[in-house]
Amino acid sequence: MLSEKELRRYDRQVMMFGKEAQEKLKKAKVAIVGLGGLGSPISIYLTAAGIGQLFLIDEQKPELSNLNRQILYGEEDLDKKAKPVLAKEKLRQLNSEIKVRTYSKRIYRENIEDLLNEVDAVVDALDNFETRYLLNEFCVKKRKPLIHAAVEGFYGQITTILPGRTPCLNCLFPNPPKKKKFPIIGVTTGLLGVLQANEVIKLITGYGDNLMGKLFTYDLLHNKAECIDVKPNPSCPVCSGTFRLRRQ
Amino acid sequence: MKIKIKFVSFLRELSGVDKAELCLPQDATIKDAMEKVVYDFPKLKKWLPQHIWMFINGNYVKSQTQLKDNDEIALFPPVGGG
Repeated sequence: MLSEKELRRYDRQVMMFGKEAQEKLKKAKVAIVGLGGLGSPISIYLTAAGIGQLFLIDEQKPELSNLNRQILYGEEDLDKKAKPVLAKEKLRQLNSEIKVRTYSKRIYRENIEDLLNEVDAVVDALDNFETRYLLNEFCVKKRKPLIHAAVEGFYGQITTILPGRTPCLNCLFPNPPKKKKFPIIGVTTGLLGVLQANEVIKLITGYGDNLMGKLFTYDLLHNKAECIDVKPNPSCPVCSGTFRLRRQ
Repeated sequence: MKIKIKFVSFLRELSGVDKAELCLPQDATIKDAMEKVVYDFPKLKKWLPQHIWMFINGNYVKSQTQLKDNDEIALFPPVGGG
């Protein structure tokens, strides 16, 4: 049930999708894995929108070279606390009504179930495919929605994965990009992170269309957006079983 | 047969075009198409085919995939940052 204060706070979005949808946001538990360039805007906009519980996961502390894009942090935060702890402090200033759970640790096969078992949706804000594949496997196994984005330079891609209905990350990108220090600017992570938050809000409220089975790419340098329909790989070693199960 | 190529992001910059059309023999594969792309757009040599993501009609494809007339191969840069 929404309080009088909450109804006033979220008035402008309740005008669009109604009280019931706002209550769904309040009840939702969403994990943001990675609190860097993508994780910063995702967490800020989900906090502002009134997501009930955020699970923030990252093992790193902010460094000077992060500050061109990781807008949750400032100069006073460098090399002090882990990102989830700092993020919680900032997000609580924005909205004291939401619950924030912090996990200042890296996700491994051994701890992923403990960290993510109770969430309703997982947002991939990682900077490496090794952990992305792990997240994908877990989400497919547990049938949890996974909102993927990845960026480099002025370019980014986003898709929403619903296990059993859409291609998984392994169907789409079975070969990871080369590991390297990648160029990036804050406007790219800002835009793609906001789009990920938008996907979470639409997914939970049921309002609007999601990027399920669609790979959306943005080239901010040349103002080009592309959207292609993508299909599951029938022999995907990660998710093909979920489709067989649906057909039975 | 005729094959269309669609370049995304910096692949578009390197090739200088959004799209291209190739004429290939009937039994051509993705590998053959990529060799022709590199011949026509030498600046892409460093990237093709191993350092890009390729899709035909929404399906991820590998070098040995057989092509059909009028297929459109979309070439995406592999990105992993966050």
